[in-house]
Amino acid sequence: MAKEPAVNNKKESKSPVAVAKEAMEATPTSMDSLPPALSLDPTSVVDAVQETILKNDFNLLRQDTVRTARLKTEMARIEAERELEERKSKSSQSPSSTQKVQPLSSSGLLSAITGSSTDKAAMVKSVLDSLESDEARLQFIDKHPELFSNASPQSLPQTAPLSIQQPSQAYTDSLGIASLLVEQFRAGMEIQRAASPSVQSQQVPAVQDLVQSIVANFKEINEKNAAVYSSLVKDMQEQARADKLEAMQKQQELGERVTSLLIESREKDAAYLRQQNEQLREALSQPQQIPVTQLKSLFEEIRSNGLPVSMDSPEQETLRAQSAREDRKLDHQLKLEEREFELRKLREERERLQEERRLMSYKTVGTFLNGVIDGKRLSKHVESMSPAASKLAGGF
Amino acid sequence: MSSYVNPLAWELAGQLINSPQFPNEDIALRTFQSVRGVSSETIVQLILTDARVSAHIDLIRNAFDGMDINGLALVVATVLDKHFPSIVDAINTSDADLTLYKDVIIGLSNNLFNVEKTEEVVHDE
Repeated sequence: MAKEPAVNNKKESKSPVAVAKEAMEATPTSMDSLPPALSLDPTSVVDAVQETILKNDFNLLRQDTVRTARLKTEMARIEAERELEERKSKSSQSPSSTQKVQPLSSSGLLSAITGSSTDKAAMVKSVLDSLESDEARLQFIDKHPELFSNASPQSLPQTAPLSIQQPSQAYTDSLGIASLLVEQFRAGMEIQRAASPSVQSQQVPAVQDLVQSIVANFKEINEKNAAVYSSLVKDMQEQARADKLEAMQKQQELGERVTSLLIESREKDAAYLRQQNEQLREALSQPQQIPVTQLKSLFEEIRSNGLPVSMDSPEQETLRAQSAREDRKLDHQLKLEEREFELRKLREERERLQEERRLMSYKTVGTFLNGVIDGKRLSKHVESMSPAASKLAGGF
Repeated sequence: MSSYVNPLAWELAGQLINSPQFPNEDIALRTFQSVRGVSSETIVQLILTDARVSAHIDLIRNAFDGMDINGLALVVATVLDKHFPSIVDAINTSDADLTLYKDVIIGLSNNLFNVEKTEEVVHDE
């Protein structure tokens, strides 16, 4: 019994679900198969978003497809088990059947694949049960490996695996994937049918119904997905169109704003130019004026020549003239006082000199008078002169 | 002996006596004693080159105008007798001093009175 799950798994791997899985895995549906976004303009971004959404939808669709295939396969397996049980119950009710056949609890997929494999499994199970030890069972398995395979290699057509069309290109459409799955499922079913022609007559209608129902469900799902996809694409396109329109409106508003600003600035420039032009005309209409600096230099030159020229107001000029007059008066008074002082000094000096001269003259006069008096005395002394002096006076 | 003395000469002598630089008798005597060994010409030159004399030489000549050596000697002897009697005695007691005195008076008279004559002589030539 330890080998029973392995056998069941081997049989299950060849189920339509497994075939579908292999087919899907063999189909390259990676991100690389999708065209890359080449630019970042709104259209390309929208396209990239649409592509991403499509990828997600495709993944969801693929998951739904696989899940549906699994459910349908499970349903088919359950129905097949039920039919097998019914058949077994019918066979057990017949008097010829003496052997009690126990249904394989974990071999649901065996009955789901073919009826002949079910019989073979029952036979193998009865043989294995009849053996006493596990070693004997292992020896039996080693000696009869064909009993534990899905089908005899001789019965299978050699071209059966080749009949499954390998996808040569990446499927980006969910309908294509679904049709591929259906084709692979059909191919698997044909292989099963070829492997067990005896059971084909019994199970073909059920399988055909099942396949039709699966195909119908696939179609329905695909239609729904296609509708959702188309609605999504439409929404995206509408959104992109609305975005484009909004961007165009904003651009148009910006353009209008720029135009209005340009018009406003040009009007301002024109007003400024008009004002400048008027000022220039006024300046040209007035007589030519001497610049202020030239006037200042002219006034300074005239003032340096002693002429009273002033740029001040009449009141300021009057005040300036009064102050200048007062200054001149003060200077004159000061000069007068200095002159008087000098004159006083000179007068005093002169008086002092005159006094000295007078004194000198008095002295001189006195001396002179004294001299005159002494001369008179000398002249009189001649008469009373000593003999010695008389001797000195004579003899020449 | 008639000796004419110009009144201005007496006045000039009186002014000389009243001048502040006029020495007293002691100084005058010492001065006389100091010049005893000096020649009369030198003494005449010293008198004439004195600043006070040279400055008033015209006044002096004008004062002695009309006088001769006798008048000059009278004026000098009078002054000496009046103010320097010791010098008069000294001159009279020594022949050398008397000679010197006379030589000096002659030299002064020649310089004061003969100038005009010399100029006239020069002019005449």
